[in-house]
Amino acid sequence: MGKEGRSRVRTVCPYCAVGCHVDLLVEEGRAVGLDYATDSPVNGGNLCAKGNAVLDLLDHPDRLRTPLRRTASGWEAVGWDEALDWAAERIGTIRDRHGPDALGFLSSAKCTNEENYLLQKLARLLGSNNVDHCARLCHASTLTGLAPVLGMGAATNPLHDLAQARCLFLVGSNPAENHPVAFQWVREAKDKGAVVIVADPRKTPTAWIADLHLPVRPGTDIALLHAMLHVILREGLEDKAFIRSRTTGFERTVRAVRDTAPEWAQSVTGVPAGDILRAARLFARTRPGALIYCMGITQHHNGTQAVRACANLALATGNVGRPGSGLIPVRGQDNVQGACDMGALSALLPGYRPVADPQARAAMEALWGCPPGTIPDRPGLTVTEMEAEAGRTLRALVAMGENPAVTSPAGGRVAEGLERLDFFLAIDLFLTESARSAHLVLPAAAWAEKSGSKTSADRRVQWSPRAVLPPGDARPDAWIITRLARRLGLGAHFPCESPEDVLREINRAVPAYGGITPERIREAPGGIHWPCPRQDHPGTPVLFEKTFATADGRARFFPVSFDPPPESPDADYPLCLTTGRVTAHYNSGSMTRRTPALLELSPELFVEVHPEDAARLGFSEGSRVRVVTRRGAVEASAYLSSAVARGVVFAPFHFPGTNRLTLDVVDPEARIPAFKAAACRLEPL
Amino acid sequence: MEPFLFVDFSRCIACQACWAACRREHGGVSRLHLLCFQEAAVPLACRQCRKAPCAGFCPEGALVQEEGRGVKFLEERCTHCGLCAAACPFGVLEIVPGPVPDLSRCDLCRRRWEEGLMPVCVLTCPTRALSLDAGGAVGRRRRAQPAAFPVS
Amino acid sequence: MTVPELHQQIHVDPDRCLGCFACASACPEQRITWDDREGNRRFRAPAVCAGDCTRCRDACPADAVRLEPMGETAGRSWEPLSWSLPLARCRRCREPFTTQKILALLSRTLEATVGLSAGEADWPSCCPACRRDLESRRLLDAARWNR
Repeated sequence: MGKEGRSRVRTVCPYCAVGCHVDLLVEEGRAVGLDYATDSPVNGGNLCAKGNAVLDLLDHPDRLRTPLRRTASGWEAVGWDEALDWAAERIGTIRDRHGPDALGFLSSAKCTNEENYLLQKLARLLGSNNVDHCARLCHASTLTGLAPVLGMGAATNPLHDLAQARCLFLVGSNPAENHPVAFQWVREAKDKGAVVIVADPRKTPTAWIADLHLPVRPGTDIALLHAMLHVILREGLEDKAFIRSRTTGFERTVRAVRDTAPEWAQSVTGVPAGDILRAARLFARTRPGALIYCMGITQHHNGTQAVRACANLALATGNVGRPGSGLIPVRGQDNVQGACDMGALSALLPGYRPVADPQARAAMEALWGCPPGTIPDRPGLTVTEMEAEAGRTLRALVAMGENPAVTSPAGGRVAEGLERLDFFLAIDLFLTESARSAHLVLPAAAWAEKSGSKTSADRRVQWSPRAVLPPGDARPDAWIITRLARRLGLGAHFPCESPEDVLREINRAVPAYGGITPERIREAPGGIHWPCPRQDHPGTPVLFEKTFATADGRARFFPVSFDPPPESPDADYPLCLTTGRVTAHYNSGSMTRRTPALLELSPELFVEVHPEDAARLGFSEGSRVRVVTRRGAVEASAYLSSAVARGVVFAPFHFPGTNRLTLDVVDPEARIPAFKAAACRLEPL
Repeated sequence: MEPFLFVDFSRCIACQACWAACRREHGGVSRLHLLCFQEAAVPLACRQCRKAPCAGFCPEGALVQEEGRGVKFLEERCTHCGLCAAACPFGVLEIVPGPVPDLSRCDLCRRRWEEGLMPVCVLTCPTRALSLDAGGAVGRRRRAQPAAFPVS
Repeated sequence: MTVPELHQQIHVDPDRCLGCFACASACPEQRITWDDREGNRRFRAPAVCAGDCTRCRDACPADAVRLEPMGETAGRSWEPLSWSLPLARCRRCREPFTTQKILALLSRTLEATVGLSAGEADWPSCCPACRRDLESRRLLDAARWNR
């Protein structure tokens, strides 16, 4: 911009995982405006409603500006030295008294790769694998589901590749509302004549453009996917050459779907058998086809199995490893992919190497310069397990940018657990619902107030530079973790002074990031897609073009069995409660519920109910209703819409309350909670 | 060439990006309205009518037809009487309440136009539901509507 | 009671007043106020103004405001001015949205300004929100016809 003293800094949006560029207009260290990055190869300047409102997060009056210590008489502002000394003393004492497994660390998909890497490193150098983050609540099933199938659990194709698809099958995914900028490629594909099939209990804006909408009953996706595979095999529509040359284990999967005819699936899913037949034929015959799935698949008691059912369908039709095809789990947060890559997971070291693997531990210990045996060989506690153990075996918790009191199932119990801790340290932008239970709250810098790399849903690693100064005394999380580590006597292992230094260490720790150096990524206008093992490697937008990442290079079919959700509607709780997002809000709402524009769009908790159900229960549009499940009850406004199927109630999870209702059953492999299907009843007030 | 905000609502996904962009650009009040229906959404903003009832009803001549730029608002002439809002056939010219009621109407981001920039709603829309139709057939047809057809 | 020379008495002709916001918006002291209640838009203004400007008079599109310089105070009314105009209700949602007089004036002038006879335009009797709703439904219907 020509204006005197004004600079334009390109940052990566802090909301969802599309990785959009947002240009900030900066004067004297303060953002004075926002402009559209029209020359960006990522988003071409487009932003969603949240992206447009992003400046409200900087200098927000609610931002934490100084460390706060909880006292009997309320919050007391303290200096950084005092705060960090006290935190280190408490963590050190609890570790000495109860052992390292009494410590827990919640890392964050809202923080940079460098910060996630540092926090998991701190946890492990303290002798604990109790480090995990919110991917546990959204796409943990993608990791556990796809890792043995494809060799890694990440989107196989870049999001813009969707425009090349001739068939798009979206299952439990609503990008029109949740990733509007990515929806442009769905729209573009449709403009070019692609077939769009959407399976969702609600007729979402994504389904508006669908050629076929399959209103599947929550929690029965596997039955639908199985029936489709059944049809494809029965009619010989599978890609036999691909199955023969690129996969193993097909026969067992064939047996698993022998009896899953569309007529059976109709009784389970509620989708007419004829539509299942049509969907199967369309998906199998129209290639290349992309299968996009999201939390409607992953957030179930059988999330891992549902992910594999998606993979079976994509593999059987040869839709992996080609442009315009692929398995696309659309990640929700700006760096949830990166936080997983960095090993902020209780069972995985940086680069997805299992903690149980002695060689992997030895390699990491050698890199970190710590004695052999420092990293424990057993997986640590997951997010939900840490919450359950809080105040029991877990005595101290460090939560960086996480708000479990709102995001975790059975939220009431989580809040009680946080209160029982001997020491709870929260690092955040705002005094969130969870941070109110903390003993010490440290003010963190927001996205544009710090530099670092972030990895979007399609493995695109981008650098987001510091554009403005943090408010008050807020500091980047990396600064906080490093200072805390040094006070805990780990200074020798935390020599890095800048995010660039940390990324250089990541280059050595994570093979897929080997060539993604700070120098390269700062100059790459559209970032670099991992795997990028060497400096001279161009990155890998499309995975598995020649070989899969499994030991024998072949993808593996896994037979999947369908079992109905653990809680089905009954006489006492006759409706099915499912949860999801609205376009104006983001996850726990700690950012968007503080943004006036977004609050104006969606001010409060509502439940979407079919008009016939409402009429039967005797309430109308806008009425207050009580939503009751076996876990708890909350009040909400009723929003009547035939977009939601009869018998289904939809509630957004951005407001405190929704997750007091959800089911606290977890998938046995992924440990992801079954947020998407619970039995409920509605009581008019 | 006359610019006209062309809305292809068959592409609209109700994502509210245009609304949020407009609200931000214009000091907290969006001049663009997004109407959501079952299975469709319609963004509505000033049509820049060629025979504009708002301009015809304004007692001060503060809204005038400007060749090449649609309806222009001359702020120095405005008395904030609010008659224009009563005259707008599409309800997209509104009076924002306050001690001095303010006029809210899409001016195709005139301030940006003077810097050579596109309207924010057009730039932000992910599905190209909004575009500038400069002198195109759609614009001519749509702009003729208020005078040509009654609204039912 | 002594009164500075610059005081002027405000006269408003309720028969001429349209019920718009011009005078209220113009007053630099915000002495002229209005509220919509019980089907009427009620205005209040002081009988005597201490200011030396004529903005309210100049802004009025209906020449309803007259300002009279005050010399003699004896026998003058100090009672604040108050006048009301009936509001028009939206024919769809029944919410009041402007005054009946403004709507009547609009209907009379549409023919001259944009060439629409009163019978051709039925939107003036709707509030802005309903006009938006009607328009978008009309556009959706037209799109379905074209498909």
